[in-house]
Amino acid sequence: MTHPHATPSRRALLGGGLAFTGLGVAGLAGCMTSSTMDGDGGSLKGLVGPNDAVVAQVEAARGTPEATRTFALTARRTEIDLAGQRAATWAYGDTVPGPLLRATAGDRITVAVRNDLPQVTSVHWHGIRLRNDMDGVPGHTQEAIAADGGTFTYDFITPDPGTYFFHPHVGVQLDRGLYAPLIIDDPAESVDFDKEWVVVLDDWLDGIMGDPDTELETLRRNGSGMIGQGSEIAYPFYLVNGRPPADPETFQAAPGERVRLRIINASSDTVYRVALGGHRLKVTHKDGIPTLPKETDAIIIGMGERYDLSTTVGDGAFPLVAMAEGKSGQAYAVLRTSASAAAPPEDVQPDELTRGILWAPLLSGDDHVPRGQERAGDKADRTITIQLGVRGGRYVWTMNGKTFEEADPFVVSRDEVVRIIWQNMSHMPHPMHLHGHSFRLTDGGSWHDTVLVGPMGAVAAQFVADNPGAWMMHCHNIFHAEAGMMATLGYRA
Amino acid sequence: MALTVQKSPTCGCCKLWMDYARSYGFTLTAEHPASMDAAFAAHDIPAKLQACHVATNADGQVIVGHVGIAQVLEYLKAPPAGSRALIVPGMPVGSPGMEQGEAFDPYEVLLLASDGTTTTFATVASPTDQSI
Repeated sequence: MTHPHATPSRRALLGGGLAFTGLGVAGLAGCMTSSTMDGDGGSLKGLVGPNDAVVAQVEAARGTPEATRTFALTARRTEIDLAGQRAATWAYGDTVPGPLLRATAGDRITVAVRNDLPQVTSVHWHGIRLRNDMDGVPGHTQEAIAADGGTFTYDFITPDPGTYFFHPHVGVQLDRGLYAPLIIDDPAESVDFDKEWVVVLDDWLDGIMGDPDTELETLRRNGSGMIGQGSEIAYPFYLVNGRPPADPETFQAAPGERVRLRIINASSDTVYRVALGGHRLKVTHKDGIPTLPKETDAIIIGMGERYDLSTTVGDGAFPLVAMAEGKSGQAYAVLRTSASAAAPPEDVQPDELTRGILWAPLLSGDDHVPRGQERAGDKADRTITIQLGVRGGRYVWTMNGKTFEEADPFVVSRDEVVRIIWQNMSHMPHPMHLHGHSFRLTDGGSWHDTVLVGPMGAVAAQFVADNPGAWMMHCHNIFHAEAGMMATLGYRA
Repeated sequence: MALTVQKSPTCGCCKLWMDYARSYGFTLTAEHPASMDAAFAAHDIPAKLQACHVATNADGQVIVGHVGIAQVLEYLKAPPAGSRALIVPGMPVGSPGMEQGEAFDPYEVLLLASDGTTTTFATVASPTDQSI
C-alpha cells in the first residue's frame, strides 16, 4: 500500500500514535518517518489513551440513549457541477456538502463509513464532546480507514444540541468536498422559528485549480512572505451549500416568517464576513451553545466556527453574502419571499457588511452552561499559554515556536479547571479548535469549540477537563495545521 | 485630534494602535470596509507602502500603519508641502501596537509626496525615537 499524497505531519502523527497504541498497520510502516527533533506531538506516553477504561466509563456516565440513529457514509471520488464547470473531487456520496445528519441530544449515533478513496481517511465529528476513541484522528484515536474499501463504524453519544459538522482528519482532505452538516436537535429548544436554513460555506479549488495536496506543496515552496490581513490562497470559488454565486441556492420563505440560519464555515483557508441584505440578525448560538442573544448587521466566522442566527424575513429577494475577509470574492445565495422580486446581483455587497459586526470575542455567554462545565469560571488550576507564530518567512506554522512533530503534548489532569491563552504573534487569523471540549472565553464571554484569534490578537478561555483522552488542538486553517500548527492536549493517566 | 481608522475588524494590532493614539488624546472612530485594498486604493497608497490600517482626519491628512506618536504629532502640526501621507509600511515589531516584549526592529517613517515619491520623515532606531 502506498500513499503518494501522505503529508509529513500526518506520517508523524501516525507514527506517534502507533508507538503508543501498538496498532499494527504494517502497510503504513513504509510511510513513517522518525523525527529528529526533541518533542513528539504524537507521543502519548504516560497519558490517557483512547482505549483506556476511563473513556468508556465517561461515555457510560453520559446516560442511556433514548434512541439510536443509524447512518452510512461512503467517501468516494465524484464530479460536481460549479455553474457549468465540472470539478473532479472527493465527497461523501455524489453531493457537496454531503448528507445532513440529524439526531437529538442524548441520542446514540452510529455511522458506518466506507472509504473508496485512493488515500486513507477518517471522520472527525467537529465540536461534539464525544468519547475519545470515536474522535476520528488517525494515530491518536483510531487506525486510519484504509484506502480502496476500508471501513470503520463510529458509535457515540451526542450529549449536546447544536450546529456541528464532520470532515476527515487526514492531511488537507477537508479542502476537497468531504464535509457535511451534523445537527443535534434540542428537546428543550428555546428559539422560536418557522424555517431553518443550513448554510455551509466553503472555499473551492479542487478539480479547478489543481488539488489541495498540490496547493500545500505550492505554499511550502513559496513560504509565508506576505504581511496582509487575509490568507494565502485566492480560491476560484466561494460556495454556499456547494454552489457558486453564478448558480446560487435560493431559499424560499414567506414574508414575516422567522428563519433560523445555521452558518457553518467548512472552508480550509477563508474567514468570511456574513450579512443578509435588508435584515438585522440575532446571534443565538455559537458552536452549538446558546449565547446571550445579540443583534448585529454582520458576523465574522472563521474556519470551523458555527453561528446560529435568527431573523424575521421581509418581503422580496435578499442576498445572503459571505465576503471572503481580506480576499476578493464572495459566496452568495438568495433568500426569496416574493416570486416577483428581482434577484440581487451576485456581486452585491449589502451595506450591512460594513455596519455593526460581531465576532467571537464580542459575544457574551448567557446562563447556559454545558453539562460538567459548572466550575469552568473558577480560578484556573492550570494555565497553558500558547504563542501562535510562523517560522521566519517559511510556510511553517508553530505553537510556542514548535511544530506538531517537534512539540510535546500539553498535559492536564482530569477535573482541573484549565485556562488556555492563545496569543497570535502572526499577521494571519488563526481559528483555534480544541477537540472533545467546549471552552468559555474569560470575562463573561461565550462558549466555543473553535475561536477566531485575530492577527496580533489574544484570547483566553477556560474549561473543566472532563473528557479524558488524547485530543488535538490546532488551527482550523487546514494548511496551517498541516504545516505545523497542531498539538496534542493529553490527560495524565 | 479626531481620526477615522479603516481596518479589519479582527486585527489585534490595529486596535492596539488605536488604544495607543487614544491614550495621547486622539478621538478615534473605527471603520471596517469590505476591502482594505480598496481603502488603500482610495488614498492611492501603493502596495509596497501598505500596512494593516489607514487613518485620516477632517483636513485630509493620511496616516498609514503603526506610526509613533512623536511622528504623528510632528506631521499633523505642520504637514510638509506637497505631502499626502505619513507611512510606516508593513508591521515592524516594536512599533506602537506591535510590541512583542523587548524586541524591536528599527524602521523608517516615510513621507509620500503628491508625485508618488517617498522620502524619509524619521528613522526610528529605538523605542524612544517614537515616543514623546
